[in-house]
Amino acid sequence: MKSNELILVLEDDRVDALALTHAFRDAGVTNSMHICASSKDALAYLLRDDVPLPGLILLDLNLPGMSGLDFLRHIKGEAAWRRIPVIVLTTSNEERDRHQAFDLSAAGYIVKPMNYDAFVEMIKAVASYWLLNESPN
Amino acid sequence: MDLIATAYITVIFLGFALVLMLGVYSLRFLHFPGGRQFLLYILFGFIAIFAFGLLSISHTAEQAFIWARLRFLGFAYSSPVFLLFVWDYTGKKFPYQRQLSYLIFIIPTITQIIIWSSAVIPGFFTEWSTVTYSFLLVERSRFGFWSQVHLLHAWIVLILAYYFAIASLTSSKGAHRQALVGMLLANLIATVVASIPSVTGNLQSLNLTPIGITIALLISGWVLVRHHLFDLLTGAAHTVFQSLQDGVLVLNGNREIIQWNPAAQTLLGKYQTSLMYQPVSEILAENGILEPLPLGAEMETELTINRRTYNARLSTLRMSNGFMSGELLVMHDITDYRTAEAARHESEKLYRLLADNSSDMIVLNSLDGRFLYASPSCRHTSGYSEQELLALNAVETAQLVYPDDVVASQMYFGQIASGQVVPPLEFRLLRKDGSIFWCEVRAQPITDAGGHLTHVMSVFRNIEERKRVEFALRESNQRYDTLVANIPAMVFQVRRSLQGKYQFDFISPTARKYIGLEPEAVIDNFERLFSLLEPPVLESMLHAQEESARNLTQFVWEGTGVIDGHAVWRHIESMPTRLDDGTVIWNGVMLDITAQKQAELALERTRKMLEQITHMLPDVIQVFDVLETKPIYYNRSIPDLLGYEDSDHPNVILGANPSDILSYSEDYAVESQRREQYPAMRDGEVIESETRWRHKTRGLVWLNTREMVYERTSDGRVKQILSTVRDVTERKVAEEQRQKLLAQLEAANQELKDFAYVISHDLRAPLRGVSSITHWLVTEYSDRFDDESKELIDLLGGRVRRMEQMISGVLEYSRIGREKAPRREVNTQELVAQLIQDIVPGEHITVTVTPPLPNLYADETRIRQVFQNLIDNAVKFMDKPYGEICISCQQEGRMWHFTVRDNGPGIAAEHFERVFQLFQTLNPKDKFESTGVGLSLTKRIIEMYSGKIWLESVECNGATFHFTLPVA
Repeated sequence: MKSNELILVLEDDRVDALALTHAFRDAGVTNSMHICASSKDALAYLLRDDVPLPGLILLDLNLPGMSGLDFLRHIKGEAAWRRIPVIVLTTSNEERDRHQAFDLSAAGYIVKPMNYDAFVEMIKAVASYWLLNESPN
Repeated sequence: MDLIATAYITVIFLGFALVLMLGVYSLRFLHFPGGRQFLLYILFGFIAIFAFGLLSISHTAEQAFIWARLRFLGFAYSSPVFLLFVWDYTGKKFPYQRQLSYLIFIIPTITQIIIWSSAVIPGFFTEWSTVTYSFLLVERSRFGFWSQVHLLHAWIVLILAYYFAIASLTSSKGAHRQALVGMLLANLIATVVASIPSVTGNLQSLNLTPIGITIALLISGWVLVRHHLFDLLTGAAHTVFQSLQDGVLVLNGNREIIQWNPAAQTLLGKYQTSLMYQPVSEILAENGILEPLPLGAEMETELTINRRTYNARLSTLRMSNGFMSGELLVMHDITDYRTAEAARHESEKLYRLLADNSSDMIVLNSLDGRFLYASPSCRHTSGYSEQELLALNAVETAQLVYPDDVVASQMYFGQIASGQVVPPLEFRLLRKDGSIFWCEVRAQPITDAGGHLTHVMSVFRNIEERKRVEFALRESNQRYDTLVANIPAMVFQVRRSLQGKYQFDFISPTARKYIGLEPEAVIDNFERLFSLLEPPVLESMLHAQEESARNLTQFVWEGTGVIDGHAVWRHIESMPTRLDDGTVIWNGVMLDITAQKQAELALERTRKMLEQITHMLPDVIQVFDVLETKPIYYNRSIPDLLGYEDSDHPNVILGANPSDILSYSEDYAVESQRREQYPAMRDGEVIESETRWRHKTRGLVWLNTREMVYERTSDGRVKQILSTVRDVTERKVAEEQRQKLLAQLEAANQELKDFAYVISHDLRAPLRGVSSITHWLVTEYSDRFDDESKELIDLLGGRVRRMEQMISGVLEYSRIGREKAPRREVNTQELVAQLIQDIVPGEHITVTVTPPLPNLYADETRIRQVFQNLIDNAVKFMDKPYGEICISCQQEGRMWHFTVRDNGPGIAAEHFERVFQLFQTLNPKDKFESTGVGLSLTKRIIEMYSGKIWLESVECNGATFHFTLPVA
């Protein structure tokens, strides 16, 4: 069941990470979340044997060190991780970023709203999208 | 008995009256065949009846005896006369006819002699007495021997008549045949009745003979009338026959003359002699034998009788009553005609001789244009022989005329044919070989006796030589006239008398142009020319003229004068000739050299000006001969340009070898390369190069050289090069600086772009954090805040929102021009309508769009932003109870001019510029949520599309935003 799967969040802004946690809770999504503040941490987490592979990755583009797009490229280059859906969650509304994300097979591209209520609505949309993709078996 | 006697006598007198009427009636047929004999026949019948009648009413026997004898006058002759009638009527002719016609009158004449002599008894009557029968006297007689002879004779003659009549019945025609049969029958009755008393030998009662005769005569009369015994036409023919001018002879089968007319008698010279039965061969003996003709044939010949000539027409003849055939000979006197013809023939021969020997072409044409005669000279002149000309048809004849002259010649011959008198025509004819020759033609119509045109005779004279001379003369005159009228000069002849007086003999029409006067005005008034010249000029001219007259040298003069208020230059050249009387005559021309003089002066001025300009120029201008490697012209030298003395670097000439003052070795290469380009240069092509040189005082300088082909050799090789050399050091330095600045600017621009990008990520993230934290504070810790704290937190939220909007605005603003969205067709009409729906202006505001709004070719999102900002603003700031917003557009050249007008608060003039600046607002930010980005964004979009935006407004009274966008 996807509802049991882990959601991996790459977000270096603490407030945003907090807001995400709140928003998931307010949206009624009960999956466990793991938040990494950098790509390096996230890759390390993915390589760990003691935790399951995440069912969804929420990716901020503006990350310290390895950028979000580089991380995405890396994930999609690894056969083991290629199939994990990645939704880009970013402040940038640049066409260039959007194109690059989709070129790297992102499953979605969401501009972070400024308003928390809108944020919750957005998370609800993501959750329903994700659940919809749950295979009937 | 009385009744019988009365009837008897009545019948006799009635018959007597009828026969008298018949006689009168038949008088009209007197000239018809048998007409005279018929009349005689009726006369004798009449005598017999008359005598019978008188006998019957006689009083005495003696008286009665006279009438009885007179009766036999009628009886005796009527038979022979009847025979004559038959002969004449049927036209029957036979030998000894005339003798027979005499013979048959012998017995009746002897009868008369006997009857009227004493031998009457018993020679004719053996016994004669009278008895009375009622009131009539009736003879009682016995006939003697001679009476029997007389009766026998009458019968014999009658039988003869029958014989001839019946013989011709076979060949006679319907009416004639019936008439003849009727006549014979009547005669038979009369003769039989008359014979009865003689046969019986005595007569004792009423004699029926007169009744028989009456009946016979009446039958004859009836036949005459009923069957037109006498044909009117024949009568007419007879009259004509008698009055004909031509001699006519009618011949019988034996070719004897049986009829003739007076004219024939005259022409045969037989006035006295009867022609009857004369053989025609005798009459016309001198003309040989006329061969008899078969029936229906005709023959024409010429006869000579008594030294006159006749045209004789012989034809076989069948008479109108059809009884017999003979021949008709009509002789027409043609002696005079023959004489005239002979004379004409002579004259024709003469003319023909003249025509044949004439050097002119003499031809005779029929009315349709064919040649009937062409004189031998035609062959010499036209190349066509006489036979060839005669063989031409009308069309070919017309083709002998040169095509251009066909109309004229046709007109000429038309006039001739219509009898007009016209002067000779000169026109061109074509020879057989196709060459053209000129002719003068005189044509004459030829008419027949009736005045009808039959032929046209023409005399063509070859006037080629005359024409040639004429043309040559005319051409020569024309050439001269044309020359004089058209050469750009005035031609004149001037005469100077011994007394020194000048006069024009001739002055060409071009005088008007050269001296401003008509030729007539100066031809007798030479002095008029003087007024055109200034006194010193005039003096110089007259002096030169006198000099020329004295030495007979060519007069050449150039000077200026004033014509029609303009200063002009004239050149005169003339050659003098001295006549025997000492007069000198010049023939010469005057030329207009004003333009040439003015051009000379202008050229001189230009040359000076150019010289001065080139001397003032800081640049070097030079023309260099590349083949001979030497300068043709230069205003200053390159060493001079570089601050040296020329003598310092005598070899430094552009196009020659590089010198040591040329700075770098790579510039040496540029110089050499340029020289190698010369031979391949095209006309008008400019080659440019820039090289560094060492200036005497300023160090390194840049010289710019521009070169083009100035002249080529006749075979097209480049010979001379025109070049300019300019010191472009300052420009070069400035250019380098500009390049540097541009690079800096580029970098700065990039930084700015990066800055905007950074803002979006780096500034928005903390802001969002603030926003989120504020939210949780309000939602999760609200019970721990008092009212004042809550208000502060609200204010905090508001500021965060505004900042977010400002950042978005800046981003949006920076994105315009950075992101190139594809352009596509934008229907602004639909776009604005949609926008108004989305904006929902409110019930108190009316938005009017004046259609049609155009289609643009742009990024729809941007165009939407433009309209949205303008309409949003108008709605947002509307302060009137009834708001009006009007949107319209019109084309102005290559641009659409849009206007968005509102009746809102308006904008003060001093803010017109400020409203378009980023973050600039005119109202307190808390009153109207406005970031001050909208209009600057709009301006930037419009300027990106090369448009303009501006506004018009009166404060408190609405504002109108104008902007332009390009047409497709």
